[in-house]
Amino acid sequence: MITVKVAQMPGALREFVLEDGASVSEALDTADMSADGFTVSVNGATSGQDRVLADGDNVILTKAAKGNVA
Amino acid sequence: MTAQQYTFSDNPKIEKLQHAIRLKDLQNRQVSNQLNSYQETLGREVRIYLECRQALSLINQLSQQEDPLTHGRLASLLNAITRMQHPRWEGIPSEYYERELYHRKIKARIAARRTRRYVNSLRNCQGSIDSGDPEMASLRQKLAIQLASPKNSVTVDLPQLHERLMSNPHVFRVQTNASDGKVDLYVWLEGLTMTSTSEDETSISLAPLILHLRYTDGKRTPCIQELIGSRMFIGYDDCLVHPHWLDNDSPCLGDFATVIAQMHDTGSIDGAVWAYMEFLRWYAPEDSAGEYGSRWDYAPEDSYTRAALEKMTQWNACDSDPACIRSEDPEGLRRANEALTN
Repeated sequence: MITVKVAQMPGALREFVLEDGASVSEALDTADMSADGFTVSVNGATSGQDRVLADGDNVILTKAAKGNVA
Repeated sequence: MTAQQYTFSDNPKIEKLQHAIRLKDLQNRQVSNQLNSYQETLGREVRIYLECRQALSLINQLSQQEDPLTHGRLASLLNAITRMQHPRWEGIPSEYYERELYHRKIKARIAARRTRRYVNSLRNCQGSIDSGDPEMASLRQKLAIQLASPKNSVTVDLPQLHERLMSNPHVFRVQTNASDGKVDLYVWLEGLTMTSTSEDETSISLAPLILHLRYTDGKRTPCIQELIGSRMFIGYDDCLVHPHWLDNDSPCLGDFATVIAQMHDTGSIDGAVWAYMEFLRWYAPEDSAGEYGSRWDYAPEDSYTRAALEKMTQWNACDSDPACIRSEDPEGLRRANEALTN
């Protein structure tokens, strides 16, 4: 079992436990999130959705920051 | 007084260390095999690429020759012959090879870096056992970071944190200082681009920078190091590396702030660094801060990049703190130095 964090920016951060060998798309399915309109990165590097995740990986869906809410 | 009989098998710490070393050795061999495989594949790809380039060059030269009888050029004839000899060539554009080569180089670089790290770890363990003090063989250096309050602190495995950060191709040095109740994490970054979210998706190269996260008394402060110098723009009075970074201490996180705070609060320091990198990678031209992105040059001036790299490679957070923990990518430093000498 692996634990990964899935964040949507802007949005929120969530943590999931997945089976070993789970991919980004499976993590997004578990999180009930869609990558449409977002760029997907894993550990700071742009990634495809078929990438296999490792324990402790951070998946981030990004759109550009807006607003001045500090 | 009789000498105490002492064997490795009697000491669980020694056994544990030996087990760890065997494990590291196995990992080291696996990574070495993977590295060899990458290098073989890379060599094969390079050979194919060069052969294709040579064929194209030959075609180009010969096609200029004129047939003395028909006064026609050989281009059409050679074109037909080449297509017959290299039937797959037309379907594979050169961008394919360049992209593949780039990815394989990155993978090989990461594999090489991991191999070096395993070897260093093995040496440390062996050195500690040789010195006769297994307690010295701290395979993990842990550090408590106070995140929001004294009750909300997290123990961070520094070598693991450094390894995770260094696995990113844009990171070429990481250093951590811990003293007087504060913890400073410095991450050297290069080769980042920020892309417009507008339809044209303009990409602008960012200058190399140092991301500095300071944790003290439950507060965290992100900075872009002042020492990298200034890059002045019309409409701004201060030095900036990004339109959403208002000054050295104050990023305008906007609607990214929530996730970055959550990364910190859950003890995911590397996640926070990735989030900051994502934050730097994008700008929205319709946003009140992002609208200034249009004033950025597509690439920083060479003189600015050189000055920044020079200061970044010379500056060392570990100089003032012997307990400082550092990780470096010699290849990244070599590239930085090459850029300085070009």
